[in-house]
Amino acid sequence: MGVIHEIDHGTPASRDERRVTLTIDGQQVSVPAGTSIMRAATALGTTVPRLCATDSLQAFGSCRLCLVEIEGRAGTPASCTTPVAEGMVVVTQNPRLAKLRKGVMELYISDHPLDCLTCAANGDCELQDMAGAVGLREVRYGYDGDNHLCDVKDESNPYFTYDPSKCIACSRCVRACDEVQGTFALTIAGRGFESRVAASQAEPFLGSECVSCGACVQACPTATLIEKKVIEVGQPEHSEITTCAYCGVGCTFKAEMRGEEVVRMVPFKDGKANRGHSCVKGRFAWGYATHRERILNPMIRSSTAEPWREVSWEEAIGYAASEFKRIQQKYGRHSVGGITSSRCTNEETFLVQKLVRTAFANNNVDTCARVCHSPTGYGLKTAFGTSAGTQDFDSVEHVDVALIIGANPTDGHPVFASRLKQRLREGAKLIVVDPRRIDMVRTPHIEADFHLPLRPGTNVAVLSAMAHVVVTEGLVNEAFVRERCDWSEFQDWAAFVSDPRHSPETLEPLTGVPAADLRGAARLYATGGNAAIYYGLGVTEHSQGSTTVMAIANLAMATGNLGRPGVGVNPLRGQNNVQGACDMGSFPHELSGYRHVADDAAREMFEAVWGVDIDHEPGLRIPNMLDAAVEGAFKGIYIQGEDILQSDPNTKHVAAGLAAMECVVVQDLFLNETAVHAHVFLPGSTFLEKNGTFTNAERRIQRVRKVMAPRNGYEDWEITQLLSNALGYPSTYTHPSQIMDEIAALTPTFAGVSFTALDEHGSIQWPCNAISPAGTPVMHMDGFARGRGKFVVTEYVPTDEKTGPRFPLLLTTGRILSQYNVGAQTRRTDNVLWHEEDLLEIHPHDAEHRGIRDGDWVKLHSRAGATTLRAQITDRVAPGVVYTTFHHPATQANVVTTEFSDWATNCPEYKVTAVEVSISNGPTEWQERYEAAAARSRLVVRAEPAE
Amino acid sequence: MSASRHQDWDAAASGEVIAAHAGQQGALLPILHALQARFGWIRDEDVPLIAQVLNLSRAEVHGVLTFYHDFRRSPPGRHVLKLCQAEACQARGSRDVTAHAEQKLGVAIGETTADGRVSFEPIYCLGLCASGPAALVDGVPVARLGVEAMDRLLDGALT
Amino acid sequence: MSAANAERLVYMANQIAYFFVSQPGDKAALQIADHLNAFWDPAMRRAIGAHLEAGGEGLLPSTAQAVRLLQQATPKTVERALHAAGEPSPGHDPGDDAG
Repeated sequence: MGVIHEIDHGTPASRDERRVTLTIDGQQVSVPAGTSIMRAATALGTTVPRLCATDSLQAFGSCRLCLVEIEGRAGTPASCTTPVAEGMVVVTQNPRLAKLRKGVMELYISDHPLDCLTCAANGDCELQDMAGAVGLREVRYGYDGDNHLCDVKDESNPYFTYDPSKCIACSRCVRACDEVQGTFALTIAGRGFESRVAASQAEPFLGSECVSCGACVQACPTATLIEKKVIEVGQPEHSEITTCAYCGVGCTFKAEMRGEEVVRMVPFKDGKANRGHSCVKGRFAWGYATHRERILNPMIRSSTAEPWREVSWEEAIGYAASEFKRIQQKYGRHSVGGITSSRCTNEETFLVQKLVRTAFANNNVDTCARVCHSPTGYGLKTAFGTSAGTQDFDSVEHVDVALIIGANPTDGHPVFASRLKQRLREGAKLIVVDPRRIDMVRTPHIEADFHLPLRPGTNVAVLSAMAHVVVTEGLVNEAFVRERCDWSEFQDWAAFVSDPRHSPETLEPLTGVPAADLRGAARLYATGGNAAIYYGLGVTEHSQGSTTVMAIANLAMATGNLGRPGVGVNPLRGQNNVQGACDMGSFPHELSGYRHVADDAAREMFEAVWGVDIDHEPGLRIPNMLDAAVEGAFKGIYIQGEDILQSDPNTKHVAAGLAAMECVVVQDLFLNETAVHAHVFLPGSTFLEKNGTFTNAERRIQRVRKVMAPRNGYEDWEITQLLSNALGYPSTYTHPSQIMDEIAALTPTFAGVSFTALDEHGSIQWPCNAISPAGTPVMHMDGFARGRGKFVVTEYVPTDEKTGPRFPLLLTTGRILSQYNVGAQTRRTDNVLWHEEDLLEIHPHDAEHRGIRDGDWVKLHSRAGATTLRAQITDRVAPGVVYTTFHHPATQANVVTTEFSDWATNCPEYKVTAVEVSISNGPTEWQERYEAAAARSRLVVRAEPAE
Repeated sequence: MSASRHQDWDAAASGEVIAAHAGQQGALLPILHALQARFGWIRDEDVPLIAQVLNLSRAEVHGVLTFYHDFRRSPPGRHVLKLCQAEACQARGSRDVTAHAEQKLGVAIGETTADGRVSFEPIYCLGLCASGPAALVDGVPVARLGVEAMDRLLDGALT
Repeated sequence: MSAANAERLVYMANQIAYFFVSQPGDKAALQIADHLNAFWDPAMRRAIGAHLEAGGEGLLPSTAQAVRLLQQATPKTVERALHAAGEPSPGHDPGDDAG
């Protein structure tokens, strides 16, 4: 296929609905009003020479190459900055223009290294292309004048190099950092001949304000900013379109390859979620696939005290199957279960839940959504009838007011944050509800109109107070409510929130939010135009997570902010395929498509195809599996792509549960923390090594395409199939597309989905059925799924996790940009340069009170456990609140989190833990014992070579 | 203005200057001018302080700061001599005056003498074209600055 | 079943009860029972039933009522009764995602 080259139209598309017809080089063309002449020319297949113009950025007009002649206008205007006009007559090539362009190129080349043949950009250099396009034959200035050929390279960033000697000062990198990424980390320092690209205050890139998103590298027309991998190995020779395996944005990439080696991941301009942008993780941090710690051979051991033994696939699968059978024989059918991965494909996840329901013959299957967005599923299903977000990411372009609650998009969903920032810079307003002063509150060119720094655990109270303002100040959209919702339920709810006990003033002592700010924020949300709510785990990971989601839905319904672009309730789903995992029936109570196992009609459909009876009672959720394990009733588990020991709360309890089991099978890329307790390790495959689909936070199903053979020998779905066969349930798929066909046949909302349809449409947002054969971008346009939207009374129930004299501070947790979740992938890439350890953010007052200085080792303890890490003094957290991340196993942040969870879904209350922080000498005893045990448990006895 | 009128720098004092001008429309240039007027030159440490108050990135402030030669990024000499380099003064012999001053001071135009006595800088057109060569000497306009007059200046007022 | 496990089940069931008791109308016991049927595996439901038989220490009144319903009626009966009372069953009802 070759490398995919997208057409670069030079300037962004115009949204104007009026059309203009003009003549370019004698040919007529009709384009939207506001289109540049340059872009109109590309519609005719004509490329006007240019260097500073690219269609991801606003026109700049600095390079002076794209000059054209316009009949009736003097001079030679730049075609990038000149919009079309009705009846305009343009000439893009003639001797005068040719002479001017050659002159411009001569100037560029007089100060440029002439090392094309050995330059990393050879074959992919726009300067080279333009020199050819303008017919450059000589440089009359010669090469002996002042030049920049001795400028020093900056190789500080692990992924790309900045070589100023090749820079033509086109400013594309600066503009990309400003317009696309929104970080403004680059500038042109100096003027005239001295103009040079500078990161922050002319610092090395690493350490400057740069967040390494790579937008500048992508924009650079020369080898000035280029990936180190390209320098090392050369230009790619073919590419495949695939989807990122990190977060729920689901960026589309072109994987550019040399044979089976990835050279670089370049965002695909037509990616519907990312529109040509990416973050540091998706673009650069894929090296974990070839990391030396990756396990490539199956291993087994009869007890976790022994070292691992490398064995053949046949032996490992056979051993696992025989163990599961033995356990079920001895302890009963319900004594085993599985955990599906939110990072594996839809097809793979479907197969794991199918294995549990067929080969294990029970419903003990669950997934990581348990610990992140399960309250979204419950809450939105109750309110709207669908367990997923209502909009697509494009919707952000129509937002007038964005309310972000419990989410930190610049860190967790960076590409979405960049798009939101673009809209905010256009004038949209922002409300942030978060205990911390996250970046979105104030970052260059962005300032939240309201930041409500609530006390952790008081989400429902804050939302009730906002609802109080909306109802008592007459800001309800009555027409919407009457038409779309149940009016009597609304009245019950309105009476509830209007009660004076829910006023912002009354609740201020509880929430810590000044009443005036809360009233202002509520009024802005209700009256500011299109208002959209974006929320994350700061909403769901609480004992009232589901209640909070319903409170959010209440606000959106009461103000009529649903059913069109620019509004909605948008859960920012964390993992690349957590939405998909939920869709695929990974929950113990649901089959694919969110149908309860007790639903006879649904179950019978599956039974007919699968040829077995399916248990009609709900199975065990992960926390309940662990409880049952400690009780002695649950003894075996098949875990695919999830590290529950590091990511689930109350580590000691998880460890106790795993240790009590007799057969723990872990299918993963690395020996993770859960594997410390495993008896069978099945090496898994990465997203580069398999075909399948991921579903992102927009319900968008996208293709994952294999670009290299699985280094471990099998794609993940093949391994599950081997296990299923060994367990006695025949599985004979030969390609993942067949699995998707089965999913489509059994799941009405997926009815129209197939690999062929995905190839045709690029991506499909479910529901995709006869009514919407190409998918559904915005939901509830004509009405709610359940008929009428449901207002739910949301009484505030304080968490039982209370601060007191022993534990006076509240710990909340989160993520940062460069690391992803437990860090399994990102810690095995150069991203460790940015975040080598988890730090504890603590307010200066709290630190001073305890004699803690910046960088000191501190002990963080709760009633659940203790750990040690370094302190970072900052006023981003309020007094009384501390914050840390959970990316490094050495920190064991979850040793301190508790067993409290959401009432409806058991989603753990990670966001509220009562803790104390004190000076420490070093790691806690638990950490030391754990490290030693983990190290022992990772010993591997290699297989003997055959004689 | 001579160097003796400049104040010692510290972050708090810088912050005060920044705050005093931050409310203006397009506050960045007035702030940079004010900082230079108060402290004599713009320090690297000023940049993050300005960026924080105006909610810009450090890169953006750095870009503006380095674009204008008039913003000094290192301490000025005790005296600042700006000699006009524009065409009318050239026609009145400013090139010779420039060369002479460079030779006498031992620096090229645009530099400060090693002993910190004089910063010798170019400037373009003071509007005294009929009486060139013209210059600003510690902010005070001076005209008819021929070679001998330059000598007297360098030996006299600019010690 | 261990005391620790009983305590945990009681805690979780009461948490569910707090929500439904706060809803208008008087259907909390039905709603709690339906929730438990939809989301708790049978062993857990039996365990809390046994705890009720053994005195039901710590169970809120509505929770106790709901657990009794679990013992007396099948999940389908409870679901039907809930629908008859005009309430949805968030656990059991198919959503739009079901097609």
